[in-house]
Amino acid sequence: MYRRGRPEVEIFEPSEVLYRRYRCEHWISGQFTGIGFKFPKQSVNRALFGEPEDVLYSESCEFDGWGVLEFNASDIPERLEISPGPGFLFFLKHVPFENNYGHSEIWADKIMATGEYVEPSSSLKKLFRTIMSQRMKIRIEATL
Amino acid sequence: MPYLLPSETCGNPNPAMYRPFSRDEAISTDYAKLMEERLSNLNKSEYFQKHKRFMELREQLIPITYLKPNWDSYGAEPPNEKARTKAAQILSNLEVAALLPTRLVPSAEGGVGFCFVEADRYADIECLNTGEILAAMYCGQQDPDVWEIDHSSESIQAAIEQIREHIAA
Repeated sequence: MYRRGRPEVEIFEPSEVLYRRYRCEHWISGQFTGIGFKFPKQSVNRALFGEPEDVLYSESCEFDGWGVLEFNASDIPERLEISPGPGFLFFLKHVPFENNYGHSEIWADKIMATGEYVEPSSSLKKLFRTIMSQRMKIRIEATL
Repeated sequence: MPYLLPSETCGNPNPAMYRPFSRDEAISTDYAKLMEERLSNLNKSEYFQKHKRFMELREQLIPITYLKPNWDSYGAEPPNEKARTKAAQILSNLEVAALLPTRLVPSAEGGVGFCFVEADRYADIECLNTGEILAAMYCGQQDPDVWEIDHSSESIQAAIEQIREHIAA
């Protein structure tokens, strides 16, 4: 889990699995609601550098009873637009922490890429969050 | 000289005013039967059940407002007054339309959301702290429809009808 001087790994294979925590209130009749998905810069953990249980690790046991959702890197829609607004690109960025090497974030940028994070409109964010919620699967079931 | 009554005397009803009924007395048995029947009919009533559920949802709005910042561990803000007021208004509209949400949840974007789920059909209405109201609906893995609801009653009612049709289809 610790970084220990390891570099950022910018390439995400389409089949790479990513994890995030969830609470059972956002899992409704077999579906994860996009209302429980935060955007921008939703944090996720790379399966390449850790186990699903890692996202529940806390010295104070604050995530006891929480669950873990998983999705593949290819589940992130590359590009979305709601006319008449501008189109946006969505991508993963490896943002390692000293105590969490696998930490990554989902970023967005305009199709005319600026290289910086650019905030999409609320409707476009809602569309993105909804699509992501359709693709999430339970890896560890929440009990809380 | 003041006199303090013994506690057991204080606990008993005044015999001049009350006469205890026993369960086998005709009047109390009939009354109890009638009340049981009424309650059982009320519990069978779809209207009463929905009304009860809407009351519960209204009550759930209160603790949601008191969530701590970062309640989802990913930096989510608790719902603010703006989102809570809008959510209460939408809940009233939903009750008038008799469309019961499956669940009321806090939004990771900051706000309150209503979810509607029937088999693989899903819809939601999300009241954000920014004052925006957004809706989404989809079936299974089909492309979702997402739209913004303006604050007019017509727009809210239209969204509710759209969700009702989608969920019932």
